[in-house]
Amino acid sequence: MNLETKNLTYEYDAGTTQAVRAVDDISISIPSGQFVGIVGHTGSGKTTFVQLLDGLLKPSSGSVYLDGEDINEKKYDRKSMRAAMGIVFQYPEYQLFETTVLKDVCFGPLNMGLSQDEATKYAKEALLKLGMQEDSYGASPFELSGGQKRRVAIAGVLAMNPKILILDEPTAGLDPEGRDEVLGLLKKLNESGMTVILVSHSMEDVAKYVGRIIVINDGKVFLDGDGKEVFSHVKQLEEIGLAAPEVAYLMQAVHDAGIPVSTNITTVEEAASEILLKFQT
Amino acid sequence: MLKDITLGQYYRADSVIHRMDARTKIVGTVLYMVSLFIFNNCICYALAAIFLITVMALSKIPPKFMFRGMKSILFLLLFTVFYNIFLGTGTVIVKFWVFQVTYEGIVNAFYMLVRLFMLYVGSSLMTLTTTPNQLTDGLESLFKPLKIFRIPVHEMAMMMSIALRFIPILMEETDRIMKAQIARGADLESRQISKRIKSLIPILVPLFVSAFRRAGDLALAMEARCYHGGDGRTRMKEMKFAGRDVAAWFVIAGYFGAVIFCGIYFKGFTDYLVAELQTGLELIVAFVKGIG
Ligand SMILES: Nc1ncnc2c1ncn2[C@@H]1O[C@H](COP(=O)(O)OP(=O)(O)OP(=O)(O)O)[C@@H](O)[C@H]1O
Ligand SMILES: [Mg+2]
Repeated sequence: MNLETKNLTYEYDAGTTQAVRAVDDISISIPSGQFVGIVGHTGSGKTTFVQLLDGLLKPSSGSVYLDGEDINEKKYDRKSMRAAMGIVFQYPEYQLFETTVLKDVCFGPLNMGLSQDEATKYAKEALLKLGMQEDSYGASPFELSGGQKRRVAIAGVLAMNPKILILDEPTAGLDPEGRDEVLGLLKKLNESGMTVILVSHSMEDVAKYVGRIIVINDGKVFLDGDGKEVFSHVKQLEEIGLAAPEVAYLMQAVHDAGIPVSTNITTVEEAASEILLKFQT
Repeated sequence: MLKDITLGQYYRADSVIHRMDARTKIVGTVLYMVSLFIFNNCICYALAAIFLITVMALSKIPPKFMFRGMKSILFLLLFTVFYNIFLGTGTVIVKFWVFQVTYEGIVNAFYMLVRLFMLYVGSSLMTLTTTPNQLTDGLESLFKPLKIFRIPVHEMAMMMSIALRFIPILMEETDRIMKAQIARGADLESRQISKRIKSLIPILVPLFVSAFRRAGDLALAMEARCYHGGDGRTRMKEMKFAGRDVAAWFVIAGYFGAVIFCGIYFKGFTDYLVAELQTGLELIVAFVKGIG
C-alpha cells in the first residue's frame, strides 16, 4: 500500500498564543515495501508526523492518502485502515492492560474481527518473532521486565499483520542485543514485503538497516534520500544538531590522513572491507 | 481529544489583580459572595455590578474568556428562572394546574438570575487571575490557625497541589493510551453502553498502573530530598502583603459598607418595584381589554 502526504501541517493548541507548528507542510510519498527511517532532533515533530500518518491526529491542513484515498475523509473506512497500518508508540509498554501476555497480544487481532483461534495463532507467531517463549504467555504483563514488556507491546501490533508498520523509537532503552534483535526483525519483515517506517534518534541504527532516510527539522523535511546521500551532508546535519554515523567521521579522518579511501560509507562493515581493500592492494 | 476540558482556568496576564496576594483575593471573593446574598434590592445589585465591572476591567481578562464557561451553568440559570416565575408565591397574575405566575416571582426570578450571574463571574475572576498553586498556598495560610485543632493543614495543601499538578500529566497520559489502543483497533465510539464500558478497560488499567507508578516515584523522590512535612519548612515564593493589598482591603471594606448601608436604607425598594410592576401590567391588561 502506498502512503502519501500532501502539504501536511499540524498545529498544537491552534488559535491560541501558545500555538506550536509541529509539522509544517510535509509532502512525501512512501511506496509499498520501503524501509524508511525518520530522524530528527528532539521536538522536531517526528511523533506528531507518524501519528498523522496513522490518522490519530487530524491535520490542521493538508492530507494523508493511503492508496490514493484521503484517510481523513468522513466516509473513509477507518477500521480497515487500522488493520492495514500498525503503529508502535514511544514507550509502548505503558499500553499493556490484560491479565496475561497472550491475551494482551490477542487484543488487536480480535478487534479486527478475527476468531479467537486465528487471533491466538497470530499472537503466538508474533510473540515468537520477538523472542518471547511459550512459557511466558500465561504471565501477567506487569510482572515482566521493561525490555520484555516492550517486546510484548510490539508483538501486540505485529499480531495484527499490518501492511505498513510504524515504530516510534522502538529501541529506546533496550540493551544492545535487544536493539539488534528488534531491528533485525524489522529488516526481515521488510524483506517479506512489509512497509516499515522507523522513527529513531540513532544515526547508526538508521544507517545500518534503513533504505531511505527522511530528516525532519522544525516540522519540515530537511533531507530525504538513501543513507549515502543524506550522510554526505554532514555539515548541514551538524547544524541542526544531528550527526552522521561515527564511521563516516572515521573514514573522513582516514581519507584526510592521506589514505585514499572512499568517504561515502555509512556502516562499520563497509568501512572494514574498504580499509582492508586498501591495505591488500 | 481531551483538550476541551479546562481545569484550573488561569489566564496569564499582568494586572494588579493578578499580582494581588491570593489571600486577599480569596477573602475578597467570599465577602463579595456574601454581599450578593444578604440583601435583596436592586440598588445593592447595581453596586455589586459596578464593583465587578471595575475588577474585571482591572484584571485585563478579555470578556470572551470570562463567559466561555457560562454554558455549564446555563441549566442552573434556566431552572432558577423557571422555578421562581412559575412556582413563586404572592399576588397571582395567571394560574394553571400547579403553576402560578406572580409579580413577586417575576421580580425574584430577575434577582436570582442577576445574583447567580454575578456569583459565577466573581468566582471565575478569582480562578482566572490566580494559579491553582497560589490558591492552595493562600488556603493553606488562611487555614493555618486550624493547626491547634490538630488538622494537618500543610499536608492537605500539599496533597491538593500534587493532585492539581497531576491532572495535566494524567490527561496527557490518557490521550496517549487512547491513541495507542485506537491504533490497535479499540472501538471507543460504539453506541452500545455495554461495549462502551468494556472499551474503557484497555484505557483505565494502564492509566491506573501509571498513576500508581508515578505516585510511588514521586514519594520516593520527595523522601530522597528529605521532605518531612510542614514543620520548619520555608517557601520559595513567600506570600507578601503589598501596598496594593492594603488598597484592595480598603476598597473591599468600602464596598461592603456601602452595600450594607444601601441594603438597610433602601429596604422597601423591592416592594415598591413589585407594586410598580403590578400597576404597569394592570394598565396593559386594561388597555388590551379596551381594544378588544
Ligand atoms: N500534546 C502537545 N501539546 C502541545 N504541544 C505539543 C504536544 N506534543 C508535542 N508538542 C510540541 O510539538 C513539537 C513536536 O513534538 P513531537 O513529540 O512530535 O517531537 P519528536 O520529534 O517526536 O520529539 P522526541 O524525539 O523527543 O520524541 C514539540 O515542540 C512539542 O513541544
Ligand atoms: Mg517523539
